[in-house]
Amino acid sequence: MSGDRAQVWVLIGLVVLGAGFALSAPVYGVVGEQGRIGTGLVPMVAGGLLAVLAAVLLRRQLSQPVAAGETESGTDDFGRTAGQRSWILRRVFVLLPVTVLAVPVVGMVCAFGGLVLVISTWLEGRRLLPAVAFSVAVAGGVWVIFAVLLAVPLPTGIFGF
Amino acid sequence: MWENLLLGVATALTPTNLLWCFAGVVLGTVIGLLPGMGSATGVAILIPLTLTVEPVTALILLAGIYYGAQYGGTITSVLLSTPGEAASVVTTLDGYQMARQGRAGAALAIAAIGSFAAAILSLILLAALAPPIAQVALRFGPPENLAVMVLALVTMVVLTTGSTLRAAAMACVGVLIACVGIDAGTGQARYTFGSINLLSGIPYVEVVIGLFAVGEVLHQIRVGGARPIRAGFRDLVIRRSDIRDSAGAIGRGSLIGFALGTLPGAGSTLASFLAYGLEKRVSRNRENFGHGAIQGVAAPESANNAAANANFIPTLTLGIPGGATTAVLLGALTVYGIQPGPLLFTEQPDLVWGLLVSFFIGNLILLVLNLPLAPVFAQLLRVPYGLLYPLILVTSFTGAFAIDNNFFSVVLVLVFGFVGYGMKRLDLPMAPLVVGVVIGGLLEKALVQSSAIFDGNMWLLATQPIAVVILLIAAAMLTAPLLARHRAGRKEHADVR
Repeated sequence: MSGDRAQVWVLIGLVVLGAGFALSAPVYGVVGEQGRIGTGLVPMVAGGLLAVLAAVLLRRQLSQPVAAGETESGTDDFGRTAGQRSWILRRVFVLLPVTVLAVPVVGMVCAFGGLVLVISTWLEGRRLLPAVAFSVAVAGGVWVIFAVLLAVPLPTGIFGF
Repeated sequence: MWENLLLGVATALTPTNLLWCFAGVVLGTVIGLLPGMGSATGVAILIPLTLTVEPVTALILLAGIYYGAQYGGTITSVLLSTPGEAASVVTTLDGYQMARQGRAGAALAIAAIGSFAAAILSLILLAALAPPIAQVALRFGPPENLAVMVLALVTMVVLTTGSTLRAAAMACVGVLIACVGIDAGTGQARYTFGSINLLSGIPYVEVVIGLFAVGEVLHQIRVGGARPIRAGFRDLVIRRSDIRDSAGAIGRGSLIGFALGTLPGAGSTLASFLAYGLEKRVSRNRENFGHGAIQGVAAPESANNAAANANFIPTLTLGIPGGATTAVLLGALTVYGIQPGPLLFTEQPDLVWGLLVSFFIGNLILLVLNLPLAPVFAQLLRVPYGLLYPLILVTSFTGAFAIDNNFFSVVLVLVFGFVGYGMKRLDLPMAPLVVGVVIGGLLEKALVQSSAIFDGNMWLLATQPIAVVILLIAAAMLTAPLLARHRAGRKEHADVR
């Protein structure tokens, strides 16, 4: 999606979000007993203000000449093209929720150790052995720092750690 | 005050606190260097690691990370033209040009010297001004607190670089996020959609980790990395004339930074821009600005360091963050069970003064470390980002879990990570959102309490002189740029005619 189109959609989203808060806030009561501030006042005012501000920004955005679609051109200094970076980004976007969902099943250390392994091998193209060593080191470090030293009860899964 | 200072010295100079101060500034420098990490992120993800130590020790570490990261951000500004911190953006203009001319070391050295000088000046002012401000703040009731919250939000919106409307919209989003959960005034649940996790609200440390750490990682993956300019030990030579030429810039930058840093919500970014702008006007060397003028590095670096220290005035005396990082530090205080605000100075003087004195020690360590070791730190810039970002992600998610031992925190970090990426992509400012989240709850509490005091008649706020003055200042800050723009437009119109 080009930057312009994304801006428009986000601003529309903010208008809807603000209006949603402003319109739903009276349910909680805007004015309480003896004319005091009610639970719904702040969300109503902040929501209304957000809706108005986002609408103004949206109007400005729409009145601007449409820029050419944003192009992520150029190779970065580590030799990656924009296409390669975008490919990695899309996969990280998918991998993160998958990892979070995997935490209750396999435990936090294993889930995030697995994430590091997948990123290192699949996305970063490292050889298997160094990637496994790196992932084990990261997972081990997390376990030692959080579970052992700080005594944080990290979620454990089917492997028990 | 001397008694308190001595207490602070005694607290800060214990071997444990010295060690953590050292660790803080070194970690901070590294964090400031790493792409995708800034002081707010660094402080946020390291809060869980400090839970087992004394609050004062933990705060000394976190504060060390804060100003250490400012310097780390300078190294990337100079060597990569990529600021690690928003406050170092303006340093890229001349710092990078100096590096291209083979004077990276001089730029880094003057930044360290300027930061140190600013830290000393601001520490003296901080020690002198914070206690009287805390005394005044002790007399503040809900109406005055309400006015200060409004001022903080207005300051953040007006002083955020870029579009004011966007900043205001993001501050509103922050306030709305703060509305989720049980209302402090009535005990009624709002926007929780039946979720038990949302009853206690959306914790802002998780919001910050998501926005700043995960969001920034995703952004960095998209934009790609840059290789730094090499800075060797031989480049570190700084000429006596460099110091002489920069002395005025350091002094002016420090004063501007301190003045702006004391404003609640102002942060240190604007201070660095204003200091650079002023220097560009007053310098005899102004034609060199943008082409490697050493004053163009000295002024903003002094300003952002002074502002970073001064940010602790509203944070400690009023419980209102000076910027995004101090907002996270406020979160840390509550995690340690400490109530920030004016009473802190009387109830926990060892903590306050120990922290203040640690600023001095930390900045001294930074100077001693960074003058000779900047090229060593700079080597970290050569670590491929492909190795760094998995580490940042793992630390962010695990750190977020460790704050409350709650899986919901991990989900929040994920959600706000995606939000943060979107905001970066669309150039929406994050700091007003964070300050909105922090202040939203406090603002509502002050509003409800004021309403109760006035029996629902909020017009009686006009009978509170301090509150009125603060609100007038807020109104002036909001309207002054509009008036200035209007006047400029009329002048332009007249010139055309």
